[in-house]
Amino acid sequence: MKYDVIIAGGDPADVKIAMAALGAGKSCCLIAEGRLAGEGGRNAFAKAGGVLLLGDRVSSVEWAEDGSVAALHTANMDDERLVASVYVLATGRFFTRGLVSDMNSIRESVFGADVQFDPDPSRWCVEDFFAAQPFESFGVVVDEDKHPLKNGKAIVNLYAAGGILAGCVDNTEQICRKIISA
Amino acid sequence: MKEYDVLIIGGGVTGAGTARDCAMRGLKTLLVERHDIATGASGRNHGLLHSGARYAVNDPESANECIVENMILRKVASHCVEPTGGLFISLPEDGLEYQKKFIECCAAAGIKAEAIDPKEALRLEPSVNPDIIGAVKVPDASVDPFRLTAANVLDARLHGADVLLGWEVTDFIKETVTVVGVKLRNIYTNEVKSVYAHYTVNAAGIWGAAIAEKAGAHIGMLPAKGSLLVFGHRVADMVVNRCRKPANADILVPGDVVSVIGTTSDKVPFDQCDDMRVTRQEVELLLSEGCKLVPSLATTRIIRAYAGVRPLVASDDDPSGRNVSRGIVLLDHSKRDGIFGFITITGGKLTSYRLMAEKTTDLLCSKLGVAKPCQTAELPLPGSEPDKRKASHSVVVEAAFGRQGARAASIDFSGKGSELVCECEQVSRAEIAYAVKELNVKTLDDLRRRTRVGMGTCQSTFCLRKAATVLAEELGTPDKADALLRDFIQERWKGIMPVCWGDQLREAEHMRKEYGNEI
Repeated sequence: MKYDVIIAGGDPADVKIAMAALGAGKSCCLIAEGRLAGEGGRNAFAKAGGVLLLGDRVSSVEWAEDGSVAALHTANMDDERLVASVYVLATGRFFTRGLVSDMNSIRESVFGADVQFDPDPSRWCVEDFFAAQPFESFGVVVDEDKHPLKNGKAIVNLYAAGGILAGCVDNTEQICRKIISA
Repeated sequence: MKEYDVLIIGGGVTGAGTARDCAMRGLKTLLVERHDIATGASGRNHGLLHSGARYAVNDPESANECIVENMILRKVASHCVEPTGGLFISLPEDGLEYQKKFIECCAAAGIKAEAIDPKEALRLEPSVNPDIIGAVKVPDASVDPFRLTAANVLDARLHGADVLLGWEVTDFIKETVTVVGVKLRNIYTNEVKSVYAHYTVNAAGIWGAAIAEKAGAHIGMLPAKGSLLVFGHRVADMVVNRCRKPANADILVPGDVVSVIGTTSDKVPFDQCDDMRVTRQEVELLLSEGCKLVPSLATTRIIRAYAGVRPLVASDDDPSGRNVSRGIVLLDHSKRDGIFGFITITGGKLTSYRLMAEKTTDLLCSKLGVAKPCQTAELPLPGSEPDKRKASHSVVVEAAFGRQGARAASIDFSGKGSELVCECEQVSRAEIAYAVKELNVKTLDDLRRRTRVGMGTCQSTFCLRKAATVLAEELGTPDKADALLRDFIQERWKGIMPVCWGDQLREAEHMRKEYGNEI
């Protein structure tokens, strides 16, 4: 299937971007396991003509030779190639499994994008529970156009939005504008 | 001014047990504790009721003490003990050499240790490492040390003892060479007062060294830190031990809905005893060794880490401190140091607390000329009396009886009482009200030690706001709910930090979203 925009979702930002894409007359597919984010917004997206793959997740990525995304496959439709002009990474942080950690490292779960985190795990948390925790600012690294980096090189047809970004910045509006003008 | 026969310093299981024994023998008794019951080593261990098998090879005396006390506590503290049974498993790298000696030594110490086929062991406890080459079944059990301590404190009070929680001993009152009382300071209000007793018992665990110094006596104590990990499920239903010379992380104990692996053993300075931290290295070691016992630990969420300090005592004739005893140490300071009216009970272990209390009380009674014999080996703790009622259909009622024993008969579950507060541990509003009324509860952490509220799989993430509200209401200070919540979550956070990765990091992020803005 070919879309203008495919969003790997999970973060509350996913549906805002999806609605912005539809509003700009673009075809859009939103893949989300369905936890946490408001279902009301997602239903509205589906009613407005968006393709909602709820309870599904990206299982593998096809890469083009230039390092851009060529197609996605999902767990429920592994043989289907999902192709788009623009892809959005809005999977959220740890709770929604956008970021996955083991004892010593943290990785981004869909594209294997570069993640900024403290290499010393004893510094992931601070003593004061009510203070901002360092792990809350870990996330994917993007270039000035908000493309995530992989091995230091930008993935040029992918944008990152919401909690998965390093540094706790909310760039949802900015990504919406980029999608509309794409 | 009331003068006591006996003043006991330390609200751990030993102090609580001693207070109970003294009160049952008719002594006018006061128990003084700086924080809350079981906040030191009594509450920071495996929760293992040793069969003694662990000590059979190296320390036959302790092994025998354990099996005798194990059998007693199954009867008199039945509501605190879960007779899980235990296994000592041999892995290929351990060989079977040790097992042979182990079984002989168990037999000599009076411990029923039965070698079973590895296949039979896997049938009994399917979680153990399938590579085992040998297994021995022993009468280990799981015990809730908080409940055990609380039951002893409650019974001491029912026998007329006074209990002061939140009062710290600042100094001793002496008449020449005799201790006649102590000065106390309230840790919350800074109020000070003096209390007097014919005899003062130092049952302060590792902090007993500093207490003894204040009284003018020196005890060579060696703080030995032991770290443990709590896993988010009941991975095994039996206690699983490694059949080899005692080493790190070789015991896994099921405790209610979770499992605990431990321990490590490292000497630490005294100034760290008040603020034990589990290090990354300790977590890694516990995890890698634990997975050899029960491989599924590798994929089970670790929900927290904690550490306690064993009060190891150096033999008096060995000032180097190398010759350390893990046995019971009862010091009559009149004979040892020429300080009268002062006794120290230390060393020992959770399983032998009752015997420690008995020995201490025997000594006190002989000094005070009281002939009444010890009855703590026969008379059940409050809650462990025979439960003759019909099982109820209510989960919260059964959970309350499981924790509070027959005493739960006095809990009123009607109306709002049956409202569920902590889902993991099935704690109801009525049980919280009971704990406030009968068991000296002031904070959520106090409540946790009496009811297991917040100790289950979710570690209070889902129930905390409700628990804080209900406790504040039951305390009669509904406006204090936020403060109760903040103090509790900050304390829980300390145990979560060392294991904050994988699924536990997901939980931590969720916990921060739920409660991070409560300040």
